[in-house]
Amino acid sequence: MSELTRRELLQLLGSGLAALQAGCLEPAGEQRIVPYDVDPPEQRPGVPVRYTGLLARDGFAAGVLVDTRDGRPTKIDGNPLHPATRGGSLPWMQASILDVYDPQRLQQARLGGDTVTWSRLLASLRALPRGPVWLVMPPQTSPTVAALLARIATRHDLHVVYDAPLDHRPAYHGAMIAYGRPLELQVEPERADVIAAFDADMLAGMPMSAAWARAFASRRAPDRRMSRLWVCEPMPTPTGSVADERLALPARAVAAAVTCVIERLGELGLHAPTLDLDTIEAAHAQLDPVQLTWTRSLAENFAERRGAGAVVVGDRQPPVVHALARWIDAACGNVGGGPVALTEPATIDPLGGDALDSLVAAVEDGRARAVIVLDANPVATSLHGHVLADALAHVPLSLHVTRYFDETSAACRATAPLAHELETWTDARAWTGAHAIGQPAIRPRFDVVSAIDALAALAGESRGARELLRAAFPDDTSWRAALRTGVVADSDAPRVAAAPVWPDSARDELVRTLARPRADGIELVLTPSLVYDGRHAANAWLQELPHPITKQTWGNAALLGPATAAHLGVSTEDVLHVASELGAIELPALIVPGMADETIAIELGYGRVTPAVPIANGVGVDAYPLRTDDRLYFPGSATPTGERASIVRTQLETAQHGRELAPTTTLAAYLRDSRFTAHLRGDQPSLLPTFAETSRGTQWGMSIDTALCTGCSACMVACQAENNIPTVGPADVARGRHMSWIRIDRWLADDGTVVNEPMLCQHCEHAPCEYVCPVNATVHGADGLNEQVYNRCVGTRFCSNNCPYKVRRFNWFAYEHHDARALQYNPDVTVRSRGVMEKCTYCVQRIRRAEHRALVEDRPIAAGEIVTACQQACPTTAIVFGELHEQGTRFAAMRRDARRFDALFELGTRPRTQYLAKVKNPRSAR
Amino acid sequence: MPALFPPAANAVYRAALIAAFVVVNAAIWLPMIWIRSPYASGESDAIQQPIAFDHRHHARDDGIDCLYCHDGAETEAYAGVPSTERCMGCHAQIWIDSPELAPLHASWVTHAPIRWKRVNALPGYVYFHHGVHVHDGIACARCHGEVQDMASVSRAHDLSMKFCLDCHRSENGGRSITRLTSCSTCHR
Repeated sequence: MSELTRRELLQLLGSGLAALQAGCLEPAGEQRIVPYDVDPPEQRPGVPVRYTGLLARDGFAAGVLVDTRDGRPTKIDGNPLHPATRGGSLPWMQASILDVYDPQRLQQARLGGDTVTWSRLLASLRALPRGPVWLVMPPQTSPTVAALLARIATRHDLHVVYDAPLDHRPAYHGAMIAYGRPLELQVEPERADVIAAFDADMLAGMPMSAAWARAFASRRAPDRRMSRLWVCEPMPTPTGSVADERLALPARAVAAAVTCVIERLGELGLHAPTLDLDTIEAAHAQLDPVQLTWTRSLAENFAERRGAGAVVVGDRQPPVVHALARWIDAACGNVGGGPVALTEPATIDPLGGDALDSLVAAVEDGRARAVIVLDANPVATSLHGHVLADALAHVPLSLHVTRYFDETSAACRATAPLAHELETWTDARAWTGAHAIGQPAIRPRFDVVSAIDALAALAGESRGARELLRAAFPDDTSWRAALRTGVVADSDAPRVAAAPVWPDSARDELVRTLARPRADGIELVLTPSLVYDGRHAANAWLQELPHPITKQTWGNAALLGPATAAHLGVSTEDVLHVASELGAIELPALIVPGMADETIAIELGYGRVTPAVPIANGVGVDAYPLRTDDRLYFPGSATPTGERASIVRTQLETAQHGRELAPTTTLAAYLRDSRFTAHLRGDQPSLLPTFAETSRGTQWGMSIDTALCTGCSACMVACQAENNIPTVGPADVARGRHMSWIRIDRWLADDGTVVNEPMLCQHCEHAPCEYVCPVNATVHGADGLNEQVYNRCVGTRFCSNNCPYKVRRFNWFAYEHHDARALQYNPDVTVRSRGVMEKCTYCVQRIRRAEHRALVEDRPIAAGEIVTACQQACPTTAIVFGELHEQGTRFAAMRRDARRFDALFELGTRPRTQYLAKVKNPRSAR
Repeated sequence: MPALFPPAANAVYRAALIAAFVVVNAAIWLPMIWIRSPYASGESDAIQQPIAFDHRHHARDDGIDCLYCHDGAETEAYAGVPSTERCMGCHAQIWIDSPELAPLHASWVTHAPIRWKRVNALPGYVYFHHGVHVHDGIACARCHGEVQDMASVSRAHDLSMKFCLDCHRSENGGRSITRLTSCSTCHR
């Protein structure tokens, strides 16, 4: 470092003094106030305005509410009126707001090497000569898109490839077997006494998960009405973590388990397909006696609860398993009047469309003159991506309409930026068929168009997306109502009455499925991740979100059970060479209790090659090359390479070591004696004032029901969006510097029961952090909040050292954004910078907003009026915020619940956040 | 041996000691006094706005209520500054030829908003809500001064934390002082 001259020293001192002044007082006349020239309706400075909106993944809509501040969308939450969210949300929905402002997004259309405008591209699409046109896009549900496709087909020889790496079509094929036509399964978990999920992450990983989780939670109070969830899966999932009866089974053996359920139902005299002896023997051969007993017990439970059961099968399973599941529901009378119903699918042409292979063949024959890839990335995700990439390079017009310049963009001649759902008019149907219109919440920051605009140009349609959507409504009233509520009234698909059949072809297919040789070695299972199939890989919030099960961030690993690991002789972080018939990859092993034996699960969507998208580029390992066909499980092998690679995790220990961090019991035991947590709550001897002395006036608190928490982590992303929480990157996460104010601890009981325990600032009445702060930067507020005062904090980190819950986060660097992402910041929350401690505030900005509103309106704050961001996001309503004196509310009931306990009660911190212990309802514990 | 120092040396030495004491103390205290002075806070500095808007004329002579233009003050966090449209409500009819109003009419025609200079500003970590204060009967003038007597508006108070706490600790309208002085009342 060069010597400091006297002049420079004085300059620094002077600017330091100026900075000191600027920090405490804002000088007059330096900032500008810029009012509107004409006041827009609805908008007032600083007042949030909420609009309905629409997100969609593989066609299926998720209705959301979008909070906007002065014209900027800042937060996304589930729309309580939309059947696919019912007010809850999932991490990808919450994180979608970051994509709106993502500086990595494709911002300029390119044709060849030149930048062009979208209007020129649209003109060239309109003028496209008649001929074969290939469209590659995800499955669609939009009626507008359906109409446009029909019109394009009249102008061009149209071929559509519905490209979805995580394909929902096995379920439709299953319905084809059972009913002769594709039908969608509708489930009402709130009406189900028993639910069985076969390889289905129905509470966190499916299009209806947010809504199903909320409905499921309504039947989980530990009383006689408590439902029972049976889960049979190859790897632990959030759904499996709340299962009452869980069976870890290789994906290939799930068919055998379902077959055994059918067999037992037949024995019990229910009308189920008769299976021949060979089939039954083949099924029995795949299960050990414990597993067989489990399936028989499941069948008996369903037979006991006739008309009140539901079976859900995951998309990974082959069609015949779906067909058998429909038979279980039919045999038990669950369909029609029960919790299960069938409707026509919302998806357009559910089993139609061309295959990508035929596109490649058409290119080779010169029959494909124009290929338009719309919002899909088949080069990265399809089975023969490199072949497709070569083919695309030989098409006269290959256009990739995309949000990010990715692997497919690199293979196409032209790329064009696609609008975010919050920037454009869209529509889509939910899983239930409910139609919804998505309206823009912000004017796009650069030249983008929506999928509808692009298709309209191909169809020669001159109207814009809004006019096309509006045209489907008879009058302004219904249009406005659809926009205001976020869902078109009475648009759920009508229920279809259908009786299942069991054709010989189905019997043969079942025999083939069961007879698939039981591989001696390892079964590889590919599974969606927090970045789904890779489409959310550019989102730093989702990359840094700890995986609900493994708590891994920024990447994937080979997940395997302790027994398999012992068999292979590997431990966590040993690199494995994982190979299938067609491909091989190397990635670190991660031992996860609850995995099926001889199974290695690998998450999809990582290992992307996207130099233009740095967040996604090269994070984790790409598992797509392992695939041998469309299936997501197949035989393979795994051998340790002898090398080690680090896995970035936020929780390393899941054992409780007898400390009762997360007590559990069974329903039967709970109904006999409900006082199993009585020793974990109440007052410890203390010299400090008691609650009665400190509880005058409004006092805030929170209750969290660990029986409901699936660990889906929507709350974590919601908190990040609401409270301007930064991401820090894998290197800093590895050093324990992740910034989430709320995390979800995963604890295992001795019997394998999983407890997901959301851990956030407990707002202790006797807070250990407060005693040790030398500058009074963390103090207690009059309403019971443990307050963190950023502008007082000098960063000693004593508070974090003394916090027994380890929920305080320190800004080691200046993590805040100064680019477009800063537009997402919640203006009601301070953006912290380097050297400052921060932590959960119970969303104090929402508390103050409600208090101000109530004061201005001369009324008390209504019970339940204040909803924290985590509570609002939670699909299962596990988190409830409230006032300690309120009466007659759910929060008041939770504060008196027999299951309540204080985390780390023995420390006497008197936390304001209280937990309800988990009660399971296994059939075996009668 | 002659005296090493002349007789005046004692006086010089004492003077130097006193000067050193004064300088050191001044270096400590003067910035602290200065930062609390109107010079630092810009109190009473008349701010020249893009339009020579005269509150005396509007608020005193014409008796227009503060809330007519700053309509958020009664219910919202931000009082707000009127849009061009609001000004044009009157000035499309009166004073249409005034050269003083040329920037206003230019804004109306070109849709370019008027960029007023902010007079009263708080640091980013302070969250002030106009509505609750006005609702509790705190007069606008309590913080903003007698704006109706200002030719060009200047800051009437330094708006420091002390200025806020002076009220929050005393004139609290029957509200709990501990609540009004909790950190998270204003900082989040």
